[in-house]
Amino acid sequence: MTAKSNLSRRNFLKNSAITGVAGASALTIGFSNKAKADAIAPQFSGLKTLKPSPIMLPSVVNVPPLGALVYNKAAFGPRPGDIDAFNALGADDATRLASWVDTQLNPTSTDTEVDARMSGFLNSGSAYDTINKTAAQLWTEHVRYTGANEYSTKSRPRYQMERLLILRGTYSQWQLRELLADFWFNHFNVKGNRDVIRSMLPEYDRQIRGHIFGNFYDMLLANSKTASMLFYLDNYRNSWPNPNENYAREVLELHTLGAIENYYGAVDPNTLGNNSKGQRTGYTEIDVFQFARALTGWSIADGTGGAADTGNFLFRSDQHYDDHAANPINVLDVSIGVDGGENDVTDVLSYLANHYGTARFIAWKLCTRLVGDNPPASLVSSTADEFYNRRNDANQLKEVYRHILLSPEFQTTWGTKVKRPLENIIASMRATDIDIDFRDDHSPSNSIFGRLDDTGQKPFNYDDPTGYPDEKALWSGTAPLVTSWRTITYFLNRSASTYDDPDTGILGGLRYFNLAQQSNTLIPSTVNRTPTQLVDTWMLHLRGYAYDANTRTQLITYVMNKSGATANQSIHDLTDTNNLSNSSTYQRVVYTLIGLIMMSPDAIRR
Amino acid sequence: MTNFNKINRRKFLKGAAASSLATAASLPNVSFAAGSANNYSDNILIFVFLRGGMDGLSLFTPMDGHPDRGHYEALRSNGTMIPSSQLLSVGQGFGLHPAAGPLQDLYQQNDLAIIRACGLPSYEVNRSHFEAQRYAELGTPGNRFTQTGWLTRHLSTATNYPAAIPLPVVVTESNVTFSLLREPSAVSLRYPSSFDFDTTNANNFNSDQEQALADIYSAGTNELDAAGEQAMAAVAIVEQVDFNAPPDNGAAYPVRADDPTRLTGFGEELQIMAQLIKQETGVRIGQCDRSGWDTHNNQRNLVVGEGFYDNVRDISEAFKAFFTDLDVLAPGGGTWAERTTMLVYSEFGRRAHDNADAGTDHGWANTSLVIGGGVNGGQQYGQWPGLAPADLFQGADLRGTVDYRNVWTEILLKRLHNNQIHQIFPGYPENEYNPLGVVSGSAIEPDFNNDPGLVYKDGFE
Repeated sequence: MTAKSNLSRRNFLKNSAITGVAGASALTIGFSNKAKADAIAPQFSGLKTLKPSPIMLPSVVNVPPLGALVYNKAAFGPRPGDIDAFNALGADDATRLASWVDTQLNPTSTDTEVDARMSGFLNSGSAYDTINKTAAQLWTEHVRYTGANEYSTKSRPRYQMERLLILRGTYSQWQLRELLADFWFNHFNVKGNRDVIRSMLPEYDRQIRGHIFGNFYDMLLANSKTASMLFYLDNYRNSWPNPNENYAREVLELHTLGAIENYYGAVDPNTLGNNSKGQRTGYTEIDVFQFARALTGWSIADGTGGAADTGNFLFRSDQHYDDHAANPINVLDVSIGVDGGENDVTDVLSYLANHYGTARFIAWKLCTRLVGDNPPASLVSSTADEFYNRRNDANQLKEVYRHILLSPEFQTTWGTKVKRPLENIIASMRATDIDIDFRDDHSPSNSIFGRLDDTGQKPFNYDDPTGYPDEKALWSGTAPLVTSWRTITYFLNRSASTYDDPDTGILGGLRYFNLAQQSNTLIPSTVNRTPTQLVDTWMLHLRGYAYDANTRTQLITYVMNKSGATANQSIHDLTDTNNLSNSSTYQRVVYTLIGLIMMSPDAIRR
Repeated sequence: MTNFNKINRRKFLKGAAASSLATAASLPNVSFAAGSANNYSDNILIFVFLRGGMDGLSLFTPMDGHPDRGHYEALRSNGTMIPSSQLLSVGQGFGLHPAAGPLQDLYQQNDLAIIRACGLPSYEVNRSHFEAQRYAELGTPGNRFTQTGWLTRHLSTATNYPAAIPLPVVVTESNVTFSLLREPSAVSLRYPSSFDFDTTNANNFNSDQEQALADIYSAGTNELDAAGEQAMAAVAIVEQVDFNAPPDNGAAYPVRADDPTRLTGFGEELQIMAQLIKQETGVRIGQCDRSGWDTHNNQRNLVVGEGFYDNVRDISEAFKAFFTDLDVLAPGGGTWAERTTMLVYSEFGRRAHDNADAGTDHGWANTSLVIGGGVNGGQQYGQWPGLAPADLFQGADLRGTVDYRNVWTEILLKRLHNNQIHQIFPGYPENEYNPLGVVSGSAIEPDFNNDPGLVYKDGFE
């Protein structure tokens, strides 16, 4: 073993000792007592509980200042100036947080920078022309389009939505909304490249966004009637007498109650008890079959069976279950003995949205996203109560978010999650204040999207109805890290180039954002352009606080090595720091340093 | 590691660190204790997960003459029935799917074993994809919160691996899998060509930047630091592998039905795995996933180039190509194929009866395959539970007769020489383990110690 690998080994042992994961010799799951052992032992029967993981990851790092924490956890990362603005919101952290959250929970219809970048393209008659099309337009002009460029025409709304997601993540002033839009899209995930969905994506996303700050039942019901979901999970063809169970199962398992705590598998539902609200405690396979029966005929007007070809929701009573008198539909506590048509479905959806199990599942997911993996049980419970108690309120979800974001747990939990590739990349774009417009059919945009595909987190591209996983352990692997870094280095390496398109006159692409010039603005005096000053200034500018000492030392060493300067010697002594060309030594020092700052562990934590 | 001496190495391998690839860039894995010279050290397990619930009843099907053929035809009356004349016989009244010709070849060469009615234990039947996948891969049916995968725990309890292996564990996916959850040495590698930093325009800054980043992560002490350090080491190793190396023995990995000039995604994954194995990166555990089996509608069992038919064609050609490609001599004797055992599993089978959409919904037991080195192939294992109405589980599913842990335990004992079953499958009752004889190898005594005090004893105290 070389010195390096011995070091690795030591580090790893330390890590193992903390997490108890990869133990030496006869040790795997490092529990220190029987209670923990029992907590993880297979449960062969009986109630399941949504318990926090027995292995809590260490709180390894110092919690950053609140403004930085907020912008890394409730937003896609800070842009220069964001944290200063946060600190100006009040005299103390509590006031600032309450103010920031209140503003973010009440977005206006204006999104200045996003609107400007989108309208620039609209005026040119190019990108983003499908985003505001009505459902009917999308159906007619894209789903049903035949002719030249058929594939790209059908897919055009999807391409534009992918690019708009990056644009919004990077530039939207309503960062919390964008984070939540991503959360809810993945909660109700559909695969963006499928037929129908690729064309209807703007409408599908619009239906979700309409309820982000509203009521969960409204969101669930609207979602159940979208062409995209009905196609994705096959319910458009769910018909009596041979029901297709796909959508029924996923509504129970993923959209409402969740399988984690509330699925009892192949047991007799009559053996289950009630929860604290007097509701039956969970669902079984029988409930899946029964709900699938209720959902027969819940479909789309797609030109078949005598229906119009509009893509609108259509209840097909001729395909709906009709044997209620002999065999009532029973889904948990809902019993339907008379054919209620559409009400068979809405009765069940309403019941599920108001079930305490749904409140706990959604609370757990939201806390996992906004606070961290294995969120404290007390916070999950109080959030579930907020969700349940406000179940009839028009602003139910808004108050649930507020409850989480103002909790002490949100403000003190750090590093139990990592940014996933998409979040890493957007955070880097925000930190560097990149000037980039995405549009479809555009080479630099396409390059970045090809790279995003490699990261495993291309927008709207997850196969399964679970949406992209959220667990830290699944995103800390080699491929997500390396492919994220590959994308970050890609655009930083091009930071000194221009991709405006002179041929078409269309403004767009990645514009010149001269980082060496920015550096000199931050450090006007040439004598102050030392390795130490460069590192400290850029760390603060990009991230809003100083990294741990180890990382800082390594960064300073890097700049020293590349410039030849000592730690506190001006680089200007050795190379012209006023040479701002894209190939100057100074330019390269600056953008590779920025790359390192954005690829460091402190930039990835959230 | 003579192979690597021929490959251009750069970046990390500077000065003293350049002594050999194996030591210079070995990944930080403490579990690879100094190995004995016995041949078990060299065995490789490739775990293939068919995600979505493969319809085992369409892969392995009763033929005319089998007492269940009539039940099968009645159950599959909505468009998913495969005529007996099109099935590829494997004896005992069963046939493989018409697109599984390469699997029939492997079976007839005694390289493929078929496990019938395999799945989760009866007390934890689960028809959710995502729960059933976790239960299987975490090795703990009924518990989805287990923090490590079954292969993670195999790796951390195995005592027979060499001290330093460059790439002991590779997943050809974008994310690490639940089987390898929190396995520190697992490298997820889907696209080798993008497994590097962007070099354009950065010139020599690129390698120095990589080195600096490696130093930053090496200096840290927590889980994320370990992951980053490993990522940088993996970059240095992977870029030395020749991914353009052609397959051996004319092995033909499957090409896309809609574009015969390109390999299928799964074909690519298995070819990458074979390249990593043959170029001696040291892969001992590999995982390759193949999704697309959730056939709720329009299953297309018999449509060439589409649906289930093409899925079966894809995996069948890929499996055969993989073992054809590996059938070359390995250092130390024998072929790579002889050292490599492949386990093929899907989270559940589908309903015995099809639905009105010529599709099938979620069920329980399924067909599983074991292929390659040490496999007692050309045989079928496990009791066939029958398709008569009274035989079906809840009147709907093929009933499970083989707990998946039974097969996986046998592979661990006989092929990977790890007997720490109580750690890998905690809670698996010893009296439920009945080896079927799927693989050969001198069996070691399994350790089923179920005393939680011992199972979960914290060695770091």
